[in-house]
Amino acid sequence: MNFISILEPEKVQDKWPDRAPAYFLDLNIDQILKLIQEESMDYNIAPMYYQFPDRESMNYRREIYRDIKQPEIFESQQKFSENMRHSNHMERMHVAKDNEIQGCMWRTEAIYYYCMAVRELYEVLGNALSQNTICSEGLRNLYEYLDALQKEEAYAKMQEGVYTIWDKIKSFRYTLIIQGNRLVIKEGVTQKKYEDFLKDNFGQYNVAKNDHMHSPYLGSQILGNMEKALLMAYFGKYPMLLKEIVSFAAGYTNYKKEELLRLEEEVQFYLSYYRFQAKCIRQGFVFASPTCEEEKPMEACGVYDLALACVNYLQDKEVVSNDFTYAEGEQFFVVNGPNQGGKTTFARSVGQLVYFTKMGLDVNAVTANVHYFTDLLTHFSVEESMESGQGKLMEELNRLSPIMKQNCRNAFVIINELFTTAAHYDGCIMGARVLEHFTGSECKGVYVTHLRELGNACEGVVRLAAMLDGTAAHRRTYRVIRNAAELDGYAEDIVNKYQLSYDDLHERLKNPAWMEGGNASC
Amino acid sequence: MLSVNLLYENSELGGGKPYHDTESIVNDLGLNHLFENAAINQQARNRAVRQTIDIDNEIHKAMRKVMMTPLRTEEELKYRQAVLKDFLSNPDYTEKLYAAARRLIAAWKKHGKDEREKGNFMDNQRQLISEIKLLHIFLKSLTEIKLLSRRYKPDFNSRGLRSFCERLETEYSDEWEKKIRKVLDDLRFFCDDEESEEDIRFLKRIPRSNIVLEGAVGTGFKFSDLKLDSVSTQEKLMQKRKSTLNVFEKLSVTFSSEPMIIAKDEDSARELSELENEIAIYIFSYLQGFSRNCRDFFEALLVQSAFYAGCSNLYIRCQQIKVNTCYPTVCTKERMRFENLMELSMGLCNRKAPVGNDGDIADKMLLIVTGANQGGKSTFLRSIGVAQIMMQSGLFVAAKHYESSLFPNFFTHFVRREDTAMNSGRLDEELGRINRIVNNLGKDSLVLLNESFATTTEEEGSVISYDIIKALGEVGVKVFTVTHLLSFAKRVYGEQRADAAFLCAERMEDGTRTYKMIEGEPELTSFGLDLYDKVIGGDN
Repeated sequence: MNFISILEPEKVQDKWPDRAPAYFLDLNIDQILKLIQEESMDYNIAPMYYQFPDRESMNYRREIYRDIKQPEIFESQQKFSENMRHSNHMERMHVAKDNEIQGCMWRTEAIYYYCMAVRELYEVLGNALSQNTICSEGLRNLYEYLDALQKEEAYAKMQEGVYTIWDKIKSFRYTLIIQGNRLVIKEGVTQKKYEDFLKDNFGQYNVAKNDHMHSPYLGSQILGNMEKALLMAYFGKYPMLLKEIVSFAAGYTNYKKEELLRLEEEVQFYLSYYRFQAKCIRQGFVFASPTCEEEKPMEACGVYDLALACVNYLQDKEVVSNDFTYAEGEQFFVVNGPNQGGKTTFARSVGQLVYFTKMGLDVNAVTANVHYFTDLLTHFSVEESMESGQGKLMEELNRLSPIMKQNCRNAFVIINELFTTAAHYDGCIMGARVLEHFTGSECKGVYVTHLRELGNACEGVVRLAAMLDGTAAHRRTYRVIRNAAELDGYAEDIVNKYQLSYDDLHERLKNPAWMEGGNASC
Repeated sequence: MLSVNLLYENSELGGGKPYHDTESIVNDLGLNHLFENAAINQQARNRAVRQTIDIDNEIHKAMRKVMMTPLRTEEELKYRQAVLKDFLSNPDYTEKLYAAARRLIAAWKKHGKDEREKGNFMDNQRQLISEIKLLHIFLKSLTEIKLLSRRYKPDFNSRGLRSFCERLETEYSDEWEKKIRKVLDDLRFFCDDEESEEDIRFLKRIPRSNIVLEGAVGTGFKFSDLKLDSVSTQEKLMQKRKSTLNVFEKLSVTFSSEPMIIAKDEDSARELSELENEIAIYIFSYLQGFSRNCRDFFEALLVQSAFYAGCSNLYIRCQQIKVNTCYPTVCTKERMRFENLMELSMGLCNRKAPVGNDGDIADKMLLIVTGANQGGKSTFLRSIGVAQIMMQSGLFVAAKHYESSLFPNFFTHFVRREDTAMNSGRLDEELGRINRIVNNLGKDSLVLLNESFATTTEEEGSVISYDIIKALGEVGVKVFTVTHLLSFAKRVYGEQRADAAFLCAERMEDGTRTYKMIEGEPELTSFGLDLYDKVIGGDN
């Protein structure tokens, strides 16, 4: 039994960080995490997202996530946590009981749902293994662990005991007779005639698809007068069953395995991301399971800013995606271009790509090959800075210095508009030094700047330009393209502005989808 | 399913899209006059002395909504025309049906129609009571409409109205009505139909539940899986009491031979009424679908009957001001033929029949109208626009004969008089509108241009106009334009395009205008001079 965790192989994270790393804010990952958290069923998942795993853990997770993405595996994990949640809830009810007999019932149910959680997960994983649909080490180990647990004598006895009691209670039926303000309760069944009458005549009009009535007393856990009367009468008639339940409930206090309690928490890391991802896919976004082959160039096709996409979706705006490749020997992209041209968005989207790859999850691109990096470092200019009396340049340098000084070997670095307040000449020199420092430390990264000169600051640097898309003139389409030419400003002419010259119109109206047959005569 | 389907054969909305820019169409063609005349309250008009116009908002809204959504096929058009003919020849039915729909909606509003739309929710119990009462109201109204339609059905010829009547008989059959009334009757312990309440001296009929249900135990030994075996309401004559609180009488559990009485308290009474509530909610959930169907039905009926009531009013109005009407027919896209076509908006506004125009513009996709100021060019263009809009919503048109194709993609681009500032902003605004039109062109497009591109110099305007119209023509868009841009008109004339027609406002030798359009070559002046002479003074 060497299963311990599904986040790290063969070790347990004792304590997760309680603060988000600095790059969360710069890359808008905090916004994405907020959306993931909405899918977390109130588990505290954020800390698991705050820490980078090492290379082994990253691969361990990626394999697990690939398995979990299969619908039946996802369902089984979801069902597992649902059962566990239910069991925990029953256990809390047991502690807060106000009626002894009912308290024993709660405990019995807590055990029942715990056993269900284990058994259902065990069965699905067993099936999947026999059909070879599970590949990850993590889930294989988990299965082995569950297999051993099933065979444990104490566990088997508990499971059998709980099922026996459960069956008896579940098969009990009673009849309520209401006449104005008189009520009679009897043991036994009825013919449920009115149910049939409703279903036969109005079944097709039951829009709520309520095929059963809710009990009005479920809002409170405490037994009502009628329920109490029923309980007393029932156990009055079957005293042996009562004895059985009481002794069973007293016999199990600390029955939940530590590994499974941890699994319940940790699996939320995957489940909430998967639910978030599924929601995004329904909204039309694409995700890729990245490859991590170091011998191939780092590149991505159709990478987009996931945080921006989620915001834009609400406003019905599209988001532009980009392709990039770090060719052999290239380490830094220096991105230039007009204001609001999509430079920062590009930088963020690459940062998010690196982050989610490292977390072992799917990424915001169509395809991606991402190298392993020890860390993710970012420096974004803070526009509404209080300036802390230091002047902006000083403040920037102060924030930059720890990043430069820490061991950043083989990190991914994103720098956005550094030294904007310095003189042009100074800015170029300082920028070049920064670039030299990081390329010298075998880092890769993106450097967004308005200084074109930095495009050939040192070896390993390549210039990209955020530019206007030529096909839809005068509209900014936020593409970032290698070695792109600069574009002109906007045409003044109103006709051109609306693309109403004959040539433009001819082009716009060329073979519209709605036109049938050939052109009308001219 | 109950459905109205008096506008389209197979659905309430026909899946049709409204015109792209309805605001411009209504303003450019002066359609508000038309909506208002359709919506003038009939009774108020009969009392001719009344000065204030009493507008029926439902009709106004319905006219606008229906007229701004074009029919797309000849079949749809014929369907609606046939229904309209039936309504116009049975004005009593038209009026009664619409009145019934209005009364129902008014009663519905009392039961929180708008509150619910606004999202103001009442507590569950009150809401359910109000829904049950509403269903009582729906049933009453449906029965009324069913009986009314049963009486008139023999007079109907249209598929639309005949199947409307038939659907009332099948989807709201007497048998079905009985079943629903039975369930509502069973539910009287929860919510009584107010009207059946009657007091007998000091005694009151109190409906009392009589329910048997079965259950299982769920989590924590709570009640669960409750199933109904029988439900009914019995009436018990009781002495009127001040307090309406149910007093719990008896709870017995008979597992052994002795019934066990455990409480006679308010808690148990509350529990019992909670259970009754839940039973009512559950039972009503089976009627909810029908109730929703009724909501949709009456919402649709209000709009549709309002539309036909409006058409009926408009028809009477046309007769009053001696405007001839006819039901238009569909021909090919390249043709348009009309006889004594009048501009109805203007007619309604001036309360007299305007001058009519005749024309047969065959094999043309471009019509250029030039000629004298104040010669009736714009009126002519509007008369086509108004007729086209009326035709495309199934209405009669103000002509002796009208034949055209259907253009669901219909656009107007009229010069905007209100923004008088002559600056580049105006051309920008104009071309911005053209740009939106181009973006929204589609199959079967008709564009009416009235004095477009006059916000720049004649030369520039002509070039812009020529380019745009040429490009539109190439993709089969039909364009009618009234223009002052003579170099543009001349240029097209010079090209001798086979598919272009040229009309002028007729002007007699002595300068008087007949307000009629005749075919003719565009002339180099639009006779503004005549007008100048008339206003400023004769030749010196």
